[in-house]
Amino acid sequence: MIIATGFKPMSKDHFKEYSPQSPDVITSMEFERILSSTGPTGGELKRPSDGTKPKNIAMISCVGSRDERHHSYCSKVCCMYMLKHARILKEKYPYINLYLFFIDVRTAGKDFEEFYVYTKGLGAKIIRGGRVSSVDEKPNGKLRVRGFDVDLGSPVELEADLVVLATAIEPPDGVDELGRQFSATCGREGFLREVHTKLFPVETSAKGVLIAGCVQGPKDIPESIAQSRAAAASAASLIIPGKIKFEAIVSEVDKDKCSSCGVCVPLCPYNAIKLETYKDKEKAKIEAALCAGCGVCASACPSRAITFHGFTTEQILEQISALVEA
Amino acid sequence: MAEWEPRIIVIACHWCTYQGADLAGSLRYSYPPSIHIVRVPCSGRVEPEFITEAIKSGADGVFVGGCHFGDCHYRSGNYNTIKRFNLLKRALVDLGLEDERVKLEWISGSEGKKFAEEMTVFDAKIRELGPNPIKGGANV
Repeated sequence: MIIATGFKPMSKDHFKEYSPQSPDVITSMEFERILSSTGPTGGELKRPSDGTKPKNIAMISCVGSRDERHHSYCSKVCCMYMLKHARILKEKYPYINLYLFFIDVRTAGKDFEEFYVYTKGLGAKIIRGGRVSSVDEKPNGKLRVRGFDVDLGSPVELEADLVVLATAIEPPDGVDELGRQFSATCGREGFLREVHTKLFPVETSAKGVLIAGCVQGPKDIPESIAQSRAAAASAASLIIPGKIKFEAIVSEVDKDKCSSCGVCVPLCPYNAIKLETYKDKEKAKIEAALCAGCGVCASACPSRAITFHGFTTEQILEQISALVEA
Repeated sequence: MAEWEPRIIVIACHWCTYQGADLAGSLRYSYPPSIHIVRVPCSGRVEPEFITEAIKSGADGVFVGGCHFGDCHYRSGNYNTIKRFNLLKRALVDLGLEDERVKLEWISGSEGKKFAEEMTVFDAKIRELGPNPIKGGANV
């Protein structure tokens, strides 16, 4: 099972300071559609409010990312796609004034810095430092953008026809519920968590459940592709042998002793225990391939019907008494 | 008769406390020789019977070590541990055992020093309390 739900761009409505009620304040995703030849304007650059061609465009980065009020993480791709938009605009409409507000420009990666330098050379104005404090609607229909320029060391204010917000990448709705269904855990920010950042980047804590793409965390297209191929390869390596190897340290139910109480079923962190019919009664059954060998069920079983191989009750009690009496 | 020496059973989870004990050894932190460690995969494996049996057969103290919350290798084992442990402790106190004779603590694999310190403190406490009063079983 590979979970690759992708992400959800954050809505602009969370940012009251950026006048989300104005039709001329749009998210990058909407802007991407306006620029696209298959988009709502057929690729023609128009202001959503009155259909005129904007002359001054401001783009604001880190809207919801790197912001303790919303998400502490960096959405990683916004700096690059803002530069991409800037490059498309500047190559197509060189006379447009373009202002890009960044906290800092994060263009780490192969050829990315070169892309940034090239876009700057096309005449896009990069304003670094701080966050844009407000976007206000003016009576003449334009938007007033106020921010800070760390290079000038002073506040800046400009009038824009269109404001594009690079809103944060968020985990899609319901991913926590989806994760629960597959016994995969979510991290603090709501993305599904890998077992190990470096060594097991596509594996989840549930065996055979793999993750790829933005469901694991913000990432760009090359990374998503690399990760999805890794997930596919991991899945194949489980399937191709035709057999699954698992640890011998697993629990097993003695169905004749099981009293059908079902205490163990919700306790199992891996959903490895199910009730199934045996001699006309519902008895617990542990799926050995899912069992991770924690022994929680064996300790909880009131009928002592669960044997935890490797660490049986008898073995441990024998160890304890040997240690006490020696 | 030789002087009384306490016997302490430590039930340690494989992934955290046992690793912590290992680290204490590699870092040359010393802890008392009264400590006897039993390894279990997870502190959630600890049955109340393990503790009662240890007390009954004469252990002077029982220490259960697990992973910190959120660190459990098996996700949620330690949450079960604390629930069971607190219930059992109430029963043991009713049987006449001192509250401090059984202890549950979270010690991670990187806390070698904490392991050694906890063991030293626990050993000192047991020495202060003296021998197990309900060795061989309580008279209820």
